[in-house]
Amino acid sequence: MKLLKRTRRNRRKWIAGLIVLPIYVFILFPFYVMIATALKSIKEVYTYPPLFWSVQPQWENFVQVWREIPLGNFMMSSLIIASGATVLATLCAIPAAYALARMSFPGRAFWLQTMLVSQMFSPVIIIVPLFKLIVLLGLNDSYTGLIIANAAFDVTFSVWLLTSYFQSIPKDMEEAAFVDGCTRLGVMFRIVLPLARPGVVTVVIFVFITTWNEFMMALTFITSPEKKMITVGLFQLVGKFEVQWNLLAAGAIFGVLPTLILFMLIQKQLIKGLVAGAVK
Amino acid sequence: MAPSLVLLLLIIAYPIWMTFITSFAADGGFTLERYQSVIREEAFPEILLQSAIWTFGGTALIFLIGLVLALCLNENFWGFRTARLLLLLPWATPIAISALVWRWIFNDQYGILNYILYRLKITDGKTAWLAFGNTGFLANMVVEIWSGLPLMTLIILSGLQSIQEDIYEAATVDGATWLQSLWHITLPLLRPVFIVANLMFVIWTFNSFPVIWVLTRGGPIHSTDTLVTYIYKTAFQYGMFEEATALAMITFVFLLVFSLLYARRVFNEGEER
Repeated sequence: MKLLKRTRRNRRKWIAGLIVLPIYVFILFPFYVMIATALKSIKEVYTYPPLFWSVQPQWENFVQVWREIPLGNFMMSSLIIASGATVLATLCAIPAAYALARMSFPGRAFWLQTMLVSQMFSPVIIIVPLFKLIVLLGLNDSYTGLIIANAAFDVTFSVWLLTSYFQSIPKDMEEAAFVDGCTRLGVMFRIVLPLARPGVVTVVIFVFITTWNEFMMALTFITSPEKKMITVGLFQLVGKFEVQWNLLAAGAIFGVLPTLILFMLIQKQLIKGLVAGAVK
Repeated sequence: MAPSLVLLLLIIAYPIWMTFITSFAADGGFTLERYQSVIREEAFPEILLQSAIWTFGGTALIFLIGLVLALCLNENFWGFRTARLLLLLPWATPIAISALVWRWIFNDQYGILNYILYRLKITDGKTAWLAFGNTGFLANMVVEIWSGLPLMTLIILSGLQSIQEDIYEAATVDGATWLQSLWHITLPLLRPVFIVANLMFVIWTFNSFPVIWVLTRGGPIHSTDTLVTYIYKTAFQYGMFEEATALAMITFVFLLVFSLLYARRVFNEGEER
């Protein structure tokens, strides 16, 4: 009986492995294309039948792309805007999450629910008046405008994440500090924050990634070519003339790497946060 | 607390209010004209239909493929940890950039997809994917599914792994086959997870903008538009800001319904445990 069970188990593993294979080809395919194309010479890009791998991989493309397209500008813009939004969102989120976790005030439950609901928002709903507002404030085509907008959209999820983090920290340390005459603010900075560091790190990285990857608002609020974020910049290089797909792919790799690496760092926490809503 | 409030109020609440007002306003009076003109627009029913297929069809496919994938990954075959890590890649990359890569894949003359299809004798290898409505729509769906698969699979996988082994052992002792266990044990147990995940994805898929915009821009004309891209076009390409707000309100109602369903589900689950 035992032997029969084990073979059945093994057979299932084999079948599982086999089914999974084509799905993974699908999942990894664009990454292969991205790398393969980045290494081609422009002639190899525009040949038919297409080459699966370059005959002579052009590693220089990775250097040349910085000269040919304004990749430096794009990356810098993305860096500035993402960092700015991160700082702003985190600074706003920490006190808010602390208040929600520790203090009870009228409308607390309402706030929690509202935050959950507003996570579901797409900028599209409010993009028209938001655009007008940004123009009104004189912030169109500026880094600041996008920083504020992105921060606002990311602050709800950040507060959500941080609140659950703060709630899991035992209160006794804070009580002790109060007894010793520490202020609320002091407690927050000196005790709770260091303990909640993983949560804060997750939030920081999350806002950074989300802002870096953002497309719609970046497309709308910034018009001068030097200030474009990388998601928009690369997109607008297509369809101009004969696109140098190899350089574009190289640029794409650069654009993808920062958030890819950061994502891998926080993937565990992020999944936990998102899954916890679904699975208990 | 105050700074977050200010941010939220300014950037989100105020524009929502303005959208609401503008959609009804006209020369200082209340009017439903905007809604009427928007609904009577020739392309409107078509776009509604496309949005529905996009949202529900996309979510359904992501769910089904994700379920299969999660079930397979749950089997702990050799290398499954690497598999789970690799799975994250589509989710971790900026969708606007990966959509660009897909655009190159779908290229009709030099794209690798057409070549592969041609060699496999599936098509004549000349399909202009992004130039026509139906193929464009398909292409968009493929990319959207590609990017949504990781998260859905991981959610289902977490659910699968939270079920205790003994339930299955008891079932096998009673003579149940794997399929029967699946149907009578796994699926019912995971029903709450499935509902929440699907609600979440309905909202996310509905809101999806970069994929469609980068690949087909909603074209040709409106054949690959969804409500979201249509709103954007109406506002920023045609310059019809006020009409766009009416459309946005309609979209808002839809999203609100689903968001409330989702929120209620999440809160109720929390209270039950």
